Amino acid sequence: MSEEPTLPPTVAWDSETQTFTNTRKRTRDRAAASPLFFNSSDPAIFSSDDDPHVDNYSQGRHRKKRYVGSWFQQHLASSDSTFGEVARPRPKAKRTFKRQFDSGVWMGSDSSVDLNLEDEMSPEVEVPAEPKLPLLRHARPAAVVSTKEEIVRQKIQSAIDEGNEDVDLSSLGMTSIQNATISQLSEFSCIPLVAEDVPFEQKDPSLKLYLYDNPLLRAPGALFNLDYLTVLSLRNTKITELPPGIGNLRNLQSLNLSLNRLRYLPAELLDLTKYPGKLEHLSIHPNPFYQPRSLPQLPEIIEDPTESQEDGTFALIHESTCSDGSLNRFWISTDNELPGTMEHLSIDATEFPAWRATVLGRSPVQYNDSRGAVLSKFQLPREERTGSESPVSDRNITIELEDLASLAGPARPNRDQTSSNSEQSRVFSLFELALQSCSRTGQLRELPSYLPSHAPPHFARVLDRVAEQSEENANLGDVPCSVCKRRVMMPTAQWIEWWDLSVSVMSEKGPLKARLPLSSHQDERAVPFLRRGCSWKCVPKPMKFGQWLPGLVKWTREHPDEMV
Amino acid sequence: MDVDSSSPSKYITLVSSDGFEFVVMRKAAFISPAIKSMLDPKSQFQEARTGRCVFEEINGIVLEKVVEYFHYWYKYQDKEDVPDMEIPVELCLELLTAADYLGLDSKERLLPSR
Repeated sequence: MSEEPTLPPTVAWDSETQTFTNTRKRTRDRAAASPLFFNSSDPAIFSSDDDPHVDNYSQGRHRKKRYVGSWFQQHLASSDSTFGEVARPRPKAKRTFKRQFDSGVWMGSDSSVDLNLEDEMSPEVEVPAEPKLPLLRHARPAAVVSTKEEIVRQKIQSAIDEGNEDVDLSSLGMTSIQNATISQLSEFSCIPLVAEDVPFEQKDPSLKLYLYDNPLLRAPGALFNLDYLTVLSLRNTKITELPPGIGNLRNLQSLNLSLNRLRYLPAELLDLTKYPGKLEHLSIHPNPFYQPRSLPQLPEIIEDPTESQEDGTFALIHESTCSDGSLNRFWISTDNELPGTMEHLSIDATEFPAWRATVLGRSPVQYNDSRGAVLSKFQLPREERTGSESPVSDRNITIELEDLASLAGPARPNRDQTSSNSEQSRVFSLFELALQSCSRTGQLRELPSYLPSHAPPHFARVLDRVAEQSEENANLGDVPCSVCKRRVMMPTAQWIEWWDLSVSVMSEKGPLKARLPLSSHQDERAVPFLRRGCSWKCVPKPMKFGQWLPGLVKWTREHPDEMV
Repeated sequence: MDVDSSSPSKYITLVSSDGFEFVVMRKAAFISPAIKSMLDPKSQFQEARTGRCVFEEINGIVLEKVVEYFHYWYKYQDKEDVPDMEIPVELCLELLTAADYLGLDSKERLLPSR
């Protein structure tokens, strides 16, 4: 009980004198109170006094720390529990404290020199012997912005400033555009119209980006993150491959890829043709596309509105009656395996592009391992990315075809007996998983320099390829699987499908424009699309020649007198 | 650790360079062609007789992840819906090397079963 503080003496009311007795003012304990603060409130303690050492709360004058310089140059005088290691003091030039007499500022130190201040400002200087981190073997390339790039940046910046949706970067002689330059456009937003009697509304921008007539070797990957891109022109550039990120551009209405060096298109481009996509204009010819060997005679594209669609691959989504009594019906092509997933769709837009895509052929599947080495007998022609000015031969490359109806499963390179249950698994290989982890570091370009010197040479090659993929797509470098949509760094199965594409504009009353093929030339109707599989289970499904791509709208018209 | 060669044990032991031992199901570890050939009973490797593989190049932390992968693969090899296996970023290069060394690059299913 001895710890309890003593109570103050009792106060008694003296009724005669009308006063309290025993009201002697208790004297403050002078020993406990700081002599400096006896006439003031307690010293303030702030959270910014970040040294919770007990010494700082001892009695006596609370000495406020005086920090000079930026925070990271500070070191604490006493050891702090939150900092495990002793912070090393930075070398600091010793300042001579000299009074500037003409400064007109009265300094408190004019009469008295604060010795504490001096002590704190000149700590024992200890220069660190060597840096802790290992040095890179090759220096990180400095981000140099060329003068041309600077022009592009200025154009983009002025378009953003003015709210101008047409960004014209054509004919600037750019061979490459950095992702950082293009990604500025993602912050584009329309300047809203502010006027009287007009309701304020925020409009989504519809960006139009023209990059034609630039000798670009590849499309900057940041393009494919611009959600609001509606028009993209890459005509007459030197790009050899369109990355699969094009499938992200859901608002794209017009895409021009003419006069390039494309050998194939990504299968993700087909996704943009599905209802209710917005893509209406697609120019892809001329390009040195892969040609299918021995393609059967292509049927003429005729709109036959009377043909019946009861075979189960089409689902009815809309019906309307015309003024003449005929019945308009809209069907959507479905995947055989997933009937009913299209049920929620309905025709509500007054006008929409109606694509027709039918499969014409498929190449055999190229299988490779996660290191990128091809294992199957069939190999897609490999084209190394050529240097800037070396001309790519425009000769046509033909690729053999495989029966569309065949199941592309057991096309293994060596016909050895393998245990059939373990050969096809959706589990990623450990190599692939490690690659995914590598890409999450965000330093794919630097990773090869961290490899030990005895590492196999293909590591650097694989990492470089992934880094390139990452720059092309402006993402982690993973590409979607065409079958199951899983993201994969190194697709282990690849094949090419040729599709015949044509488009018309449809309204509720029927087609508004005649169906237009992408090229009037018969040889150019088969357009190659590259598909990628994430595992050896994600291989092409059997298809029929002329089968529709799932998700497309088909229109039929029936006259009542024909209906029985 | 000696196993009768006529009926090899269901489990094998993997030892890391710093002495950690992992007991793994034989079937799961055989996804790696390197381990499979080391433990091939027809070969006269010491590992095949003892069922114990020592990896001088792989340390315990990495080997633990490799063993985790063996079981992950074993569990999900026939499944359609495979969850992702998390690999810490700081181990990525070491695991890449280990995966290459152990042949875990999806080619393994092609190798003829000896």
